[in-house]
Amino acid sequence: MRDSKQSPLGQYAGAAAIIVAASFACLALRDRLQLIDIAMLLLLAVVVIATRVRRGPALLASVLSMLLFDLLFVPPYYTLDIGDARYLPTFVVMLAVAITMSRLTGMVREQGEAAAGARAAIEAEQLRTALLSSLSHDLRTPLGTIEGAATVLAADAGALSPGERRELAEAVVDESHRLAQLVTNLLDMMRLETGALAVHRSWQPLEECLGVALIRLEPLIGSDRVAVALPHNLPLVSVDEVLLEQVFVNLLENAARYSPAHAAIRVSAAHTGATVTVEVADDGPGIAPDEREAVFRKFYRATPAGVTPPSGSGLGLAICRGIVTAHGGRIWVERSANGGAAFRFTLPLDVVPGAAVPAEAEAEAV
Amino acid sequence: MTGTDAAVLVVEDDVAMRRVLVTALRTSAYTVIEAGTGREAAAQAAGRNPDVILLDLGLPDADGVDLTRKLRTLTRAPIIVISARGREHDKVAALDAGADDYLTKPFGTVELLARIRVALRHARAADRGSEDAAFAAHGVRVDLTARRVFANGREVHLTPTEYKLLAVLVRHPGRVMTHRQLLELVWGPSYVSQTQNLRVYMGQLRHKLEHDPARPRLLTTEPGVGYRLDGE
Repeated sequence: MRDSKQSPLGQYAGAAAIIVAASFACLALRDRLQLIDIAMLLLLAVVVIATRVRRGPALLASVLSMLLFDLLFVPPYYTLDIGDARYLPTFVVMLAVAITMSRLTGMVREQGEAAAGARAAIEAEQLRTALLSSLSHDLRTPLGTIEGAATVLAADAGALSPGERRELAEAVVDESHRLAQLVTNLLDMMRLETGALAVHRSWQPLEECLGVALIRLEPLIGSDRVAVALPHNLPLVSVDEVLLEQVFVNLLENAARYSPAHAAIRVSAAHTGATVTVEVADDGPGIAPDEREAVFRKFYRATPAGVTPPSGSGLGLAICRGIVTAHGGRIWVERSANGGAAFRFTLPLDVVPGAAVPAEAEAEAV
Repeated sequence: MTGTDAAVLVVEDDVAMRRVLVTALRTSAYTVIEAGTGREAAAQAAGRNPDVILLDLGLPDADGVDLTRKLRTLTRAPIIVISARGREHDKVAALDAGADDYLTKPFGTVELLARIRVALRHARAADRGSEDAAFAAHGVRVDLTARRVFANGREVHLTPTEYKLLAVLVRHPGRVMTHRQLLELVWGPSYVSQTQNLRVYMGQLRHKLEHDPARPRLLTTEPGVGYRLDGE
């Protein structure tokens, strides 16, 4: 009976059971109690029930208690005859109390539910506001820099030194890149969420996709920081190269951001059964077990101890999950051998490759 | 980085973007012809005889691929199309329709000028009716006359298909080749959709020629589009 959310039928049955039990308890004491005491005890049962259940079961409890009171305690016993008209007010009071109590508790419950709903709405609103403010901050900061630098350059009548001009122009270049990246992430996220993302699969070596990402990231990570170990007999994978490249870029960028400068990042892959598993591991602080699922939520930014939260869109890993899932794979993070983060994702191979072009005679040509 | 006074037709409807492109090209000594619509582009291409055409595929009044095809009938000038990331299909369609190269928005001026230089060089070589019989870059030397390939001074043995693929790329240095174009030139017209073998052979070539096959410098990938032989 404690849970007012239990099924209506359960509430009726529970209410009836309590009244019957209370009545029979009183029956055992019938000779030692005054009629008014019994009425009070039954009324107490009705009140208790009315505070816990909806109106219908509360009414049933009060009517049932009245009937049982009449049957069992009002002489003549075991009939519905009322020997004395002075018991009528008792019935009316019991009924009125039951109705009033159930109405009161109903109102309290509704207010509570409304308050809980309002609280949830407020929390969702706060979250949305926080996301929007962090996003608009991320968008406005580079825009502000670009506008500021460009305004100074445009208004310059020769007062700026060549070095200063160059510095301002470079700020415009760097911040435009940052802005472009963020907008790309936002658009990708939108495409993933609205289902507008088309996956153009074709069979290809993982190395090619990874290579594009490595070269694209060279300005950020350099060329010797990422160690690649792909087995020679790794089968072709059926992927959308533009999307998978984005997965590599996001994972590698993340690894570079969250680990000490120049610390090694390792990319490896293994082939088991009908699956290729790819790993991107770093020597950073790693990700706490309770954050390992949360990092894939959009706008979530991990804040490992001892590392200033890097500026990112908080979308990179959410996009990775979206893309890997669209390929029929899975992505998760574990602790790497060196205590850093090891991001792993799978690519299923159980898609039949298309017909091959005729194999050439492998004679040496030159 | 001077343009040797070549004329560039810039087809771009966005005024701000066009202004930046025009300024970048003028400061590099190119003569600039401007067009904001497909109709203007066709008129200017026919009337002003540009040396290179820079074409934004997202014009409001014309389908970019149709316009590429139309411009191709009007002039032999190389066409460089401009499109956004994620629109790889448009780029491939434009390249297959006769465009010579593409740029992905947003791009830097350095990249833009480099593409224009490659396009001009390629067009002039084609006009002379001659192509270089030898190629050397990134430690790799290819002698098309003797059919010999060297990497870091040592001769490399290639299979017939590997050689054919490399030779096609060497004949178009610096230029993007779509999967379809390469498949057609190496395997023949009935195999143009069989990209996985192309990718496998490209991987083999990289393992034989590149210093680090995971970071190719010579045989670069154009994601979703094709490959490019870097000749710089």
